[in-house]
Amino acid sequence: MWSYWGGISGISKWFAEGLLMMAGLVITPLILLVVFTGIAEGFMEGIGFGVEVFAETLSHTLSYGRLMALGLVHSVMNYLFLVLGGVEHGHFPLMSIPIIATGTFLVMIIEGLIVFVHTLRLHWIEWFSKFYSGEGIPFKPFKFT
Amino acid sequence: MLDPNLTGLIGIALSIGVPTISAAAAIIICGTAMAGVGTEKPELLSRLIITVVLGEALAIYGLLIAFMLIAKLPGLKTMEAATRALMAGIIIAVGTGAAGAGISYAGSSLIGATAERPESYSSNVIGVVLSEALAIYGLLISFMVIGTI
Repeated sequence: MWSYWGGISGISKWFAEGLLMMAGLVITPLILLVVFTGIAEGFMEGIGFGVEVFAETLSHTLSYGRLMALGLVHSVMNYLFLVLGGVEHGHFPLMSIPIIATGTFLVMIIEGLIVFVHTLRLHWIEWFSKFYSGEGIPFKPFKFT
Repeated sequence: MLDPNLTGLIGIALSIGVPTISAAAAIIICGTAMAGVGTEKPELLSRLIITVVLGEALAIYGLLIAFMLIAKLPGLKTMEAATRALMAGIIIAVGTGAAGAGISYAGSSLIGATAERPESYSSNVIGVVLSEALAIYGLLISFMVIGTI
């Protein structure tokens, strides 16, 4: 978890904040991870697990950048239909309203599918692999017999 | 010697052309495999559609970068800025090309394996979504390069 936060703040600040920041946020948790896993399961297991966790958390953090990309895609695709309709700065022809309405409808359909699949993927790969346990008590509906 | 405007235009052409080709490759292979499975087991189609949609998203990323480059096009006065625009196009082209190759191979294998053993879907889908993440990395780096223009 520490290397997770280190990965977030580290990408832009490792070299700006100097060696102390990098040592505190990334290297120390990585060494602790390697040492404790090494004590528990053996030396090579510890190194392998540490490298795996570090690479995984970093790539998962970057993977959430797709939310930013999807937001930008939304604005770009709607702006595309505004341009097609002939809307410019301070100039809004009434003839462009059907084009914009049709375009917004198309964008809604295609983006609903894409955003749904991407959030599903975030849940499956990034979220469930960390926080999902699959335990619990099965639901028994209350009923009169 | 190219002039800055033409260099930027080449970057735009790369950033929309190669992603659409890789998206088409992914959709061609996964879509035909999905059609074959759908004749036997139509109840699996709603889960397998993730391969086609992730392949189609590659073209959307290319569209995004091309649109941002077009917005930057009137400001490309120097050769250095134009080279950065060209590099942004090349980065997204290579990233989505790799992701398209990964999705087309892993996705068709996922579809074939799911038709035989539907319970193996949840572990086999990791190959598809991780190769789709390659395109996201290319997109992020391309954003950073565009930000320096």
